[in-house]
Amino acid sequence: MQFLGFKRSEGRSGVRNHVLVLPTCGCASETARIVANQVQGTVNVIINTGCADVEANTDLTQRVLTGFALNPNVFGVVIIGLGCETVGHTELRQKIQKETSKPVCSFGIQEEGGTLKTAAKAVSAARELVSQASMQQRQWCDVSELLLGLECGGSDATSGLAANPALGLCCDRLIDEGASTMLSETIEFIGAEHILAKRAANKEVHDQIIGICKAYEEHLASAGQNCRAGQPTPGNKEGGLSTLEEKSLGCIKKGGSRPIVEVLQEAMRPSRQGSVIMDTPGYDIASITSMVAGGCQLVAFTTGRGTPTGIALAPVLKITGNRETYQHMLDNMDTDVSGIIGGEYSLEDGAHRTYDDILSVCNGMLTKAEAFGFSDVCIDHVCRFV
Amino acid sequence: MEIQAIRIDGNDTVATCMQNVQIGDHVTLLSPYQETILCCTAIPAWHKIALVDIKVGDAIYKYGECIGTATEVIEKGGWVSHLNVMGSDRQYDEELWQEAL
Repeated sequence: MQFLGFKRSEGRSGVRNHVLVLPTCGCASETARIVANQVQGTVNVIINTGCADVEANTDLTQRVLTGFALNPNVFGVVIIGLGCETVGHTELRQKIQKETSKPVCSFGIQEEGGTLKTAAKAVSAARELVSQASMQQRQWCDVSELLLGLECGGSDATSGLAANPALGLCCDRLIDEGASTMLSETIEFIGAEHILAKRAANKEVHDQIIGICKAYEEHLASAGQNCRAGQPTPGNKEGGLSTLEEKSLGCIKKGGSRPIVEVLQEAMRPSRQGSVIMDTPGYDIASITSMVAGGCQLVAFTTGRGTPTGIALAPVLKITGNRETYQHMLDNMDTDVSGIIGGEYSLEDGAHRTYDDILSVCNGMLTKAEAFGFSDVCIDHVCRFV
Repeated sequence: MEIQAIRIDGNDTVATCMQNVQIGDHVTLLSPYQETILCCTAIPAWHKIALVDIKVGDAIYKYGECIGTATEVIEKGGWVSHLNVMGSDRQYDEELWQEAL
């Protein structure tokens, strides 16, 4: 399989060609938004970190910010810094430029003398980058360049019966064709981790899968939280999911059945092709943020109850096996596989529909979340702010 | 009224109802199981119906796997939900790689 993507000088090709206006910290986020609002063809993110953090949080923020800049969907980057944050705009720009030849420029709000003076320069720079990006044509790219993020949220009992197994079959086909997939949301492995671990390509990966589940449960316990207290969520329970095990057994089906070759820390980029796991929270927006920072060009998101979530850098395709939800929330749902449950078509047919929609989105079809311009970002946090 | 339900695995002790179920409705399992169960409590759509009589402490099976244990007696044909099933703690250390396997 091939898709029409945007070639990059290094690494995978993009399925989008965005100019990213990237803040270094929460305090620069609104100025970044003002810049992006002035230039069509740019996207921006609002972040809540980058300052007054412990080292582990700073490390994760830096991985997310550099990962966003390096994401194949990004043509070029305009960084907006403040001036007193933990990692300033010059340092962040240099870190990014060490890993990519794509155009990156940066400005500091304190240096320039405020939002308007910063915006004046940054808007000019962004306009120039958008002009360059607009000249680039889509070219045929091999499917082996695709890294598909997998997500489920607002799950109900239909998720494990239709949307997740259909996406899982679709993943098997993509992997057999040479693509890579990324499964995340560690908390939603718990209760099914022994089954997931059987897919491990080797002993190391097997024990890493068990290990991240154990560590997640212990981490929450150290904060006085039983992981079964918040999971399943109230919505999951209303949708017919009674325990974390039941939810997890349905969740892992979206990953398919091929060998798992690598377990990644949050917001890290894979070093291997194939089916990989990233250790993230079950909170959809945090998980998607980390997977897109890890290089996913596209996220396939299964849901039972329906959710609008989208991230500006990458298309998020909503797939549901719940017919009522598809019809009731048509504004937010992309792919309907409810016919699997009704017996109107087979699971294989549902997987084909999902595959075809993923391919269309790679080729440029906007998802509902993209058309709305949604830009949800949440950088995970391991400790209180300082 | 006749309602359809999905049993995923032959070992499962619950099935997922495809519509709202009222007391006295007949719930028929989709192929290949075909069994019909008389419903004894109202069950919302996509929730689980007990396929056997369940005692306190019994493991509940769905997907052929244990999804938790019963905290109350649940009659065959009753509603199995978060109110009468509790998840179990994991034994992670016992799940690590076994060379003999």
